[in-house]
Amino acid sequence: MLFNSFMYAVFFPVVFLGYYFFPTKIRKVWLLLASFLFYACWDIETSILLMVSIGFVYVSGLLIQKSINRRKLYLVVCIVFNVGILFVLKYSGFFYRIIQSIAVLMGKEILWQTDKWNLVLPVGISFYTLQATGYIIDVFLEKRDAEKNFVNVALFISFFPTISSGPILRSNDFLPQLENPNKFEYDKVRRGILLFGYGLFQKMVIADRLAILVNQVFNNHINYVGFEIAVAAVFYGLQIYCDFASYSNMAIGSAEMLGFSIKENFNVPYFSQSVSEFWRRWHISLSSWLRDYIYIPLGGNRKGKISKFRNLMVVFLISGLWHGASWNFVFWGGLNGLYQVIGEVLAPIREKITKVFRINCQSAVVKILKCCWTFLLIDFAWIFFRSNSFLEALRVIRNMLRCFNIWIFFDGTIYTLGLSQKELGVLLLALIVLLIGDLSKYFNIDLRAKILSQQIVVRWTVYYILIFTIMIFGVYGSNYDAANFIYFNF
Amino acid sequence: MKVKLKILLKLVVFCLIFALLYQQIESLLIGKDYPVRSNLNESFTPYPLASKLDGFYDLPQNSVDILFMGSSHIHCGINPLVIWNDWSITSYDLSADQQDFATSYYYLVEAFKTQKPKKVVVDVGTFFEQQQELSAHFSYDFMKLSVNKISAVIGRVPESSRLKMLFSLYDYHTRWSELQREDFEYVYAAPKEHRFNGYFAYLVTTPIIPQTNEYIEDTGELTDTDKYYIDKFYELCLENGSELVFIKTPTAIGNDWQPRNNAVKQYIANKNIEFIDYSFDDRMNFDWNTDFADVVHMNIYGAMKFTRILGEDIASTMTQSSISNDESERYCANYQYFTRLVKNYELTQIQDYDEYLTTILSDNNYVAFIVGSSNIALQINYRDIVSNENNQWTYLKVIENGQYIYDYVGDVECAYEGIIDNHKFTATSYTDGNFSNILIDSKEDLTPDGYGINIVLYDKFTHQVIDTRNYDIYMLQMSVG
Repeated sequence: MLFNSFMYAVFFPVVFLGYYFFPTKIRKVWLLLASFLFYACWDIETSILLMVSIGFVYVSGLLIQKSINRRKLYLVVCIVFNVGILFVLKYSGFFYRIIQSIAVLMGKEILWQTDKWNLVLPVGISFYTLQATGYIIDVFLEKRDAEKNFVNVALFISFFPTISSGPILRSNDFLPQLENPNKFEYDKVRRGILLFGYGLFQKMVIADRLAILVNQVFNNHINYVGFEIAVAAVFYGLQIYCDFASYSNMAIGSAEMLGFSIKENFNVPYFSQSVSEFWRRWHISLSSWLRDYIYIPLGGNRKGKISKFRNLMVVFLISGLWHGASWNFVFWGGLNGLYQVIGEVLAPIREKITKVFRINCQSAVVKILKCCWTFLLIDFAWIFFRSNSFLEALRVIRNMLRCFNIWIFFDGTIYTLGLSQKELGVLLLALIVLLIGDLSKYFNIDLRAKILSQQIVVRWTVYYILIFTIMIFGVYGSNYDAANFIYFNF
Repeated sequence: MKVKLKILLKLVVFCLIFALLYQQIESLLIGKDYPVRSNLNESFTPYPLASKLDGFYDLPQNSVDILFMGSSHIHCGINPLVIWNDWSITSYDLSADQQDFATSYYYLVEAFKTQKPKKVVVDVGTFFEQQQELSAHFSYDFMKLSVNKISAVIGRVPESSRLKMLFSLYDYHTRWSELQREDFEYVYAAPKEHRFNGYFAYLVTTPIIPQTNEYIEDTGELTDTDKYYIDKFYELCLENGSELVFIKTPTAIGNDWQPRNNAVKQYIANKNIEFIDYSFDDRMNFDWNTDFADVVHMNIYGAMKFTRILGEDIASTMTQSSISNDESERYCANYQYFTRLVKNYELTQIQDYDEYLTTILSDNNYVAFIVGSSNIALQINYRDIVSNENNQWTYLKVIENGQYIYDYVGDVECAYEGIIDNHKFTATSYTDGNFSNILIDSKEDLTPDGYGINIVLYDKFTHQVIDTRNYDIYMLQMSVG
């Protein structure tokens, strides 16, 4: 069930009304049932796997808390079980191919083939596995008590707004919210609706429109060169941002309407002035999870530069692998790690240059240039992320660098890449709206609060404009294959 | 509690305003047209698809005595204006492209909301289990949202397409990039009159070799759905005091429907429903070379013949319709308009230059602008002038009220300017360049800009430019000579 589907438009209001209508005692059960229904809409079989996983985490949590001698054992078993499922379903093919290649080099033959196992990757498994693992580690590290209420654990792992694509919830943020039943708060509901609507706008008007050009060029990259590919690459950078941020906004908005607070997952990442800042603003719930459960346990930046660089590379290679079981994802992760390592290595030189040339790093121009440079680095890495394989990514880059055909912006070629002149016009206007939204966030202006504090005429006008902009300019309909959110694939 | 009531009230008002805005935007964006071949309807509406049902809704209440329903066979085959002219009976052709029998039932429910027809004539040529998405759009896009429409969609449309039929913005929202001035004008036009009362005047002519129409005794099978809707039709007409008549329109392949027709006849034997099968009716006297657009669809000439025979059977025994003078005048004016369009169409089919001019001169409503391009000298010196040294001649003639009101053949640039129906027409013949100008309101150049003589023909009756053509007299004479 996609957020931008008719089914969800029926599902959510029913859940919402039921949630506030039912007595507080059964609200959690109601939400849990709704979450299972939401998940089962994709695949009933994999929802059984989810239930097994929840049961295992619940029991493990209690065992770790009660046990004195076997705490570590229970922790390892639980992590191996959860991560093991993820590994088998998501990575067995990838590692099989590696082993196969090694075997071929050694002149040996492998008798088993994972391709014939017909494995189905359950929706959201990468997300809820991390969530469950984080909870169990927190219990082990005694950062929190094991949850005794099964419904709470089940709801924490399967909460429908976040289960398929995050944000990855943290037990200490979410579980306490289940203790106190949420009261209906009109303002919170309105804020949630507005955020959900903005998410829909990002997804349907911007991301899916950008996808038309991106898919056209990337899927036929042999036929395109130079700026044609560069435009598609820039568009992809914007697409993946709008696509994923839209999902997060809709998830947070849905949760907010139900009275839950979920931390933001994106904080204007393309306004970052360095790659490391970008990763503090992009997919925050994953970055912070990797920081807290991998980077810091590995030693973080406490054991010298070399150790820090190693830890950074490990975290980003894992991040790449988490996004997809393919070399292009691994390379993408590695490249982002490498950017930061190089950035740190070159930091003294940069400082010297700024001193010698008396560059004011706080000036707006320098900040904008740094943003642009960071965007270029990140966007270049996205090419590996978007391509179907590492070799394909290299071919795309080769085609991009082959020709300096800047005239495509003047001779009308730009309008032949999948989006007409009118479509590009709409896209440009939508991107201006996005820019305004991001700028206000960057300068800590609560745009939602501003809108909600206006008089009813202004407020409703904004609502209607938002609704009808999505309905008219949104990419959907019979001829449109409702695209999944990009992060569903992870 | 008070706060909750206030929120609820706000929600209701918000939804009402939303519904209002949605309805306006959907009306604007909805596909009002679909590709159809040459027809007369486009002379009064760019949207033959939309105007049929919209026109019906805007009819005065209880002003229709016969309703015709069915598929495109009726849509192209029955002209209510002819029935009015011959028998003074009001009727409306409420058929639609691919409107199957069951869908006709829902149209009838809709029709009974505003009309009390004495007779309901339904073509039994199309029985489908369900409608395909495209034809369902034809059928339901312009039906007003009501319980009947929802029942129709549930009853006739595959489950996966039902919501799209009720909220058609889902399929049509991409039309924002195609919006034209006409979309806005159409949406805000009131009333939305269909000047042919639903009839689609097909102009295409295709010579047909008819199938040998030997009567087939075989009886086909009716499905439970077919029987269900026949019964529903019958009951609905009984309830509303209308006489139900089933017909089968004539086609060039009448045998194909025969087993089904026999089954229908058999099923309605005990019901008070008349069945007239025109598949084998010798009275039609069709000219198979001129009366059909294709094997199953009549053009304006075939429809004229069929409507007269059908009218003889259905309308001749009825008492004349009792309608207001305004409505009566509307019917008369529309009949004249229709015959005028047929005349104009026939004029545009004339190829011979002299015959063309003679016809224009014989009718006071035609205004013709005849302009030569500068190479005219090479061409017309064969006719009525002698070439000068430079071969630079201009040629401009204007016909109005059956006579030449401007007539110049010379060697200087000449122009004519006149106002017709509040439009300024400017025609210019130049000494240089192989082109001419015939401008309307100083903007749109209508000239075909060909060698020789360029003609633009305006009809003051229909207030339309009805023809633009070019005669390359030189080539014509060369080929003759």
